[in-house]
Amino acid sequence: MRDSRRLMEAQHPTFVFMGTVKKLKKATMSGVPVDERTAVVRVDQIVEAPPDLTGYLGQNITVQLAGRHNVRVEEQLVFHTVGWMFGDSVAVRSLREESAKSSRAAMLRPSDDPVKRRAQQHVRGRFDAADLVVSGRIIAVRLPKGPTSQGHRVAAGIHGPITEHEPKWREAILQVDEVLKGAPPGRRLVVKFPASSDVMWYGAPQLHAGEEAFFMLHRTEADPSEPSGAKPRKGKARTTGTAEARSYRLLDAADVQPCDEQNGFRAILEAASAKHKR
Amino acid sequence: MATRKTRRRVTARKARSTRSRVARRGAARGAVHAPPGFLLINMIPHSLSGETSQDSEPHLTVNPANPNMIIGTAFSPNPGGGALGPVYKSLNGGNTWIVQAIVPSVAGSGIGTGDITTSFNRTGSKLYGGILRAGTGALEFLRTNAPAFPPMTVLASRPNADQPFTHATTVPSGPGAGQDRVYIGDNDFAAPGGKTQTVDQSLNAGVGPPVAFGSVRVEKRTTVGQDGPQCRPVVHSDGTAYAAFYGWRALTGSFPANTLVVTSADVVVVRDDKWGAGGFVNLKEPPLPAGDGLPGKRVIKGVSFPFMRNGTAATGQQRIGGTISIAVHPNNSSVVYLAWGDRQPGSFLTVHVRRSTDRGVTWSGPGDLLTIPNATNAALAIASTGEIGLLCQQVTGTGAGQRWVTHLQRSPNGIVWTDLVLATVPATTPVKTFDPYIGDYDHLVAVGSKFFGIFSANNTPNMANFPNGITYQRNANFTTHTLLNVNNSSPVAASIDPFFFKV
Repeated sequence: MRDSRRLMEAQHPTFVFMGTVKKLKKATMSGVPVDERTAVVRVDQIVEAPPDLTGYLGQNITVQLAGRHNVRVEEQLVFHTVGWMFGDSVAVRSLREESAKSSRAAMLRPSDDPVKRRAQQHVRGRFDAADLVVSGRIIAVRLPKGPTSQGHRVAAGIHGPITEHEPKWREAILQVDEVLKGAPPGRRLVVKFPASSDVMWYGAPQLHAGEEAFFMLHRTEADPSEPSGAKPRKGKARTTGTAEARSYRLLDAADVQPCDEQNGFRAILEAASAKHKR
Repeated sequence: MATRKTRRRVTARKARSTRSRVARRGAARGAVHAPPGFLLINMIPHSLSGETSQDSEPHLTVNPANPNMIIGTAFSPNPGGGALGPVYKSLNGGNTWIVQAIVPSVAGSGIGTGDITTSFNRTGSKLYGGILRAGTGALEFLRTNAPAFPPMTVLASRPNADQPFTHATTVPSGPGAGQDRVYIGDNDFAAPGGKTQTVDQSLNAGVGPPVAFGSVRVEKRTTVGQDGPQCRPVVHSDGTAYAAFYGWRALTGSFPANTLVVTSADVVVVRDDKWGAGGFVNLKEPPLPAGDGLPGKRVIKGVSFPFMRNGTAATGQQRIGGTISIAVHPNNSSVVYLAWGDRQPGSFLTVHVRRSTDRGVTWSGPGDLLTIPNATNAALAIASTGEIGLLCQQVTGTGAGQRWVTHLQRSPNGIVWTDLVLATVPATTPVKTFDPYIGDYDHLVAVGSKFFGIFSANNTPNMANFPNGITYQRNANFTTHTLLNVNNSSPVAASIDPFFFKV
């Protein structure tokens, strides 16, 4: 249970809305365990939302309150929530609630697209988590040089174990134009991305020679596709250990942002820059 | 605001009305063809009527103490975002389903989770699971409490393994009574000597954390460097534990070029008579020359099948890489059925079914009890009546007429089989967004005299696709064969959905 609570606390809200509490200890759908933290809330204004939740403006949904302060019927609050249950209606878990009067989120224009704002929040999160953010151009895409393989893997044409989740790594050579975060080791970077169509790599960006974009690069210590116990023998570094530690990975579609999105990514950059200065 | 509210209420009424019509129509059709009590339902709930994800590779567990409580899983993103993936939950025997986010995942994941299978313990108080975690690919063993289903706790995590397949139970009496026993079959690439087939087991998984899991290496023979991904454990209430897997012996072709063929594999069954505590070595072959004297019965030797990276038009967009299932008779642990797939002339994968009545020592044959060409995703179960069920998915036709036909074959004795066609849907649409198209497995379980199953398929609302009836929770127009969004008017593209059935 403690583990579950930690998991909840580590989450970031994905559905942020201003709403009015209509009922306490009630739910809008069956299957929701109702307790003193369960409330029926009318969605008055959506600030940020995934696509499947935009249709609930003006409707009652179920909210499991964060439980940090008392809530009254007809009280208007801003709810910072994540999705929980979806049936005939929707139930969300609130990570925190704040007064609609004092909330910055409540000041946002109702006309702003909540789905776009959610997407921007995701991009901002990727920016914050990135080790290096640059603009630049892909000048080539090549096959990586692999480690020495076992016989059956050579025969099968791959370096790691034969698995349907094999990432099919490709290396893109990225010519850096502008550095926006971090310090690159040079003007040319090697960026790995999975070219596999397997489910485990779904959504990873596919890079092509000539492509110009903003790239949010993440350094990964361990390659999830690497075989074996992954422990080097005593006194011997793994064949790929050093190179892997230095390489950058692109695994999330949001990590590549088109250059012509002047009002999109540039705005995120400016906001992130202002945040870092603060 | 009042106008909007009124309109939405009307819309909601319309939606309910549509669903009711569909349900009635489904039941009416079912009355003609389907056995009494048959239910087939699209598991996507009404509030997610707009979803278009490829919800493939489904799995299912039914609470043995309360069959109204059922959990399904698939590659489904959390519709509300967040760092938890969803499961499908029913508390009324599968008549309605809700999606609930409880699986450890990564924020913004488009798939919710990688490979996932779950299993209730015997008392239904706990739900166990094995996953490949989205974002990291780590093999993780999970647990949560029923009926509240809070976010699942990670009991163990390690990299470099594939296709966890979960079976849980509780010792009913005798030594260890009340202890939860959890068996997760997987292909562990960290196993020494390339003998990668593994059953990770905990013989008291209900207490802790920490929960001790031990890796039992069930492959005892020389491999080509590794085994196949499928390892299917099943355990009888008397403590007899079986597992079935492919031992890979020879390969040819190229995996990147999608031409890899396993040219020689053994279909192996292992057994342990003390809940797995003995290391699955109780079923041994006789010494040379009749056998090789090693643990694990090679039921069939030297089978061949493609191991594909990508599905192709010839295989209905589904990648093919073998299929295995094993089921033990709930009233007699000596009786065990086995299904496996291999390549045959004119068939990319043929499903075979055979039986042992002496705890896996000898098997029926040389002929099959049942043979299904161009099929995959075999899932066996045996009801308390002794009735055997086989769920599988078969490609028929070619070109634009190609279809995925999902069958439930049932037999009272393993000799005479009755085919119930659950779905026959276009195999060319929708176009896959990732591999696997419909999943590398589906699942069938038996509780008492009933079968409960899950499969993934094209969700176009067309009664001709579901000849024995169907119920949709999501908005759909069966006259125009169109899915509709939550507003019950905007069209939604067809996609792959999970379907639940019971009979």
